[in-house]
Amino acid sequence: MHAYLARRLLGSVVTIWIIVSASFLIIRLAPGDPAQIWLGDYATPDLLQVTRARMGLDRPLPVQYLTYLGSVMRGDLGESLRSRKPVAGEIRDQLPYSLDLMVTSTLLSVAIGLTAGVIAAVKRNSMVDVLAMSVALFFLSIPAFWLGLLLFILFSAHLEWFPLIGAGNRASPANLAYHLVLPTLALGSRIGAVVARMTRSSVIEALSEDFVRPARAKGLSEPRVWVRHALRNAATPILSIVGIQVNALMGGSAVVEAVFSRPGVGNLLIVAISTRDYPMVQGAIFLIAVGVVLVNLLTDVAYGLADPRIRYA
Amino acid sequence: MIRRLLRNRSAVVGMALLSIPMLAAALTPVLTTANPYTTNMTRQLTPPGRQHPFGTDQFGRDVYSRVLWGSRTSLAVAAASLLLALTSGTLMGAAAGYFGGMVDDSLNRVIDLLMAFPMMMLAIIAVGVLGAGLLNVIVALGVSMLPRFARVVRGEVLAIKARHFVEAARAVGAGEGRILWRHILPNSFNPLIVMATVYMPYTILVESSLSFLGIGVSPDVPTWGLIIADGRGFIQLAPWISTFPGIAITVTSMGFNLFGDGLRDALDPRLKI
Repeated sequence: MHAYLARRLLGSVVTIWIIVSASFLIIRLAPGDPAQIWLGDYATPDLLQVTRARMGLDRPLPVQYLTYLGSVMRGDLGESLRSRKPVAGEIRDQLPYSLDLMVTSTLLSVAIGLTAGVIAAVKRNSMVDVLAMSVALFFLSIPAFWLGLLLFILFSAHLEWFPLIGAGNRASPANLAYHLVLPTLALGSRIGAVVARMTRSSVIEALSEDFVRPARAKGLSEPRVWVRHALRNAATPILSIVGIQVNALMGGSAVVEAVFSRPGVGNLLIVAISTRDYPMVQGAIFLIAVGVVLVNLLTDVAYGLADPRIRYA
Repeated sequence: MIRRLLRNRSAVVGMALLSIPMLAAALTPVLTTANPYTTNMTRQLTPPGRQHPFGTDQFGRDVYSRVLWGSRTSLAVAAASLLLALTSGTLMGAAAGYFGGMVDDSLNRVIDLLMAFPMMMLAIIAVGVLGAGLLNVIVALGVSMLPRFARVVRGEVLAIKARHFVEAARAVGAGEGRILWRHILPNSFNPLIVMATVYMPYTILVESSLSFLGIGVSPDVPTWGLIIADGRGFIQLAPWISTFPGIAITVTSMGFNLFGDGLRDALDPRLKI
């Protein structure tokens, strides 16, 4: 297990390094001069020259690359072309809001998705099953941003139950939670649906296997059979889909943050893309790479905890 | 196969749902009378009625004809990017699976790397690097799905390569290219078709999300996501602007999801995607 973890960690570092290098290269090769963007349209050639030198753009590409790599390792992601503040600082300020949203969405949707999936599986082809799967299909098909808008019209604008914009005050957990309710529903509904569908099919498969009969025969109650035997054996595919979906949340949160005018890394990235703020785009890509690699690592470790048959050879 | 599909309830319901956007896109010029671009400042934010079935937007443009013209763009972009992912993914996966060795190792590394990223994020990043615009959005969506297709094709090719009929073809002297093209690829066709259908709704969702975020096809060409974004500022005053394109996206992707479920059951029950 330790050797496996060490190897995976090393692999993760390599993955992040490749992604950082690729984003550096592609962005440097893309049209558009960062110095020009920084100075705006009315820059004089002299000023452009000086700025290019200050930003290190006049040096050869390999030197620029090594300099960039060195500063990334020191946690320096450069300066935003738009706000002229350090990218790392801006990301650090926005990250907690995105993490809040992603954690609540994951918890809520996994709890609901697992419950609905197990119930649908054991009551297969009943009205409950049809209903649960129809609801899942609906949430799988509705775009998160439109669902967010609908929730917003109904609960924020009409009923005035929830706040209109923002993410609340970080000093007050209650206030934060209050601002999180609608975004969580908008973001989590899709994962909930995916988890429910996957849980249902995996549990149905597990229930048809040989170990279920002796479990029943030895007098275990039905719920115990479902959870301890069927769900436990269905854990691997469910875990992998949860891992994929948690990663997918990073994209989804950009959209939901936009709908609810919440601060967050997704919002930061979208604004950076539309204003061609390349250091910020690169910084966000770096953060996302780290996040994705971490989630994948955790998912793989969770496989082993859920299913002792998996050995990390 | 078609009979099996017609016996499948979710496939039939899916096809019925899909016929609505498909017909609307095909018959757009017949079904719409108003020009989707014509602004009319005397008829801003008109509620749905006889003259404007879906109402008008903040510039007095007819939402009904915008949604219908939007269906063409949204469906065409989704189809084009799927085609791109399908062809490039097939090439990549087939090369990796068939030639093995170094080719497989290096291509697999790339597939793994791209697979690590969620599709939506990959598409956002690709647009971030390439910039917005019709072609770039198609490329971004295509790239985000490419590794998924490549992985499935690779697996299929590996499995089929070991079968007897491939050996037989080689024994009678067929060349590598012919074996791959005539014998292996046709046999890996089913999972690809299922995958393309299963990914279709997701492609539509991602495309509309990009448009909604303002980094999509174009701020001028109506797409479903863009119309929703347009209506966002008037969501209380004129909810119909965002409502109708939202229903269009939901119905279309529900249709594809149902049809994809049915197709998977009919064609390839082993496949879990």
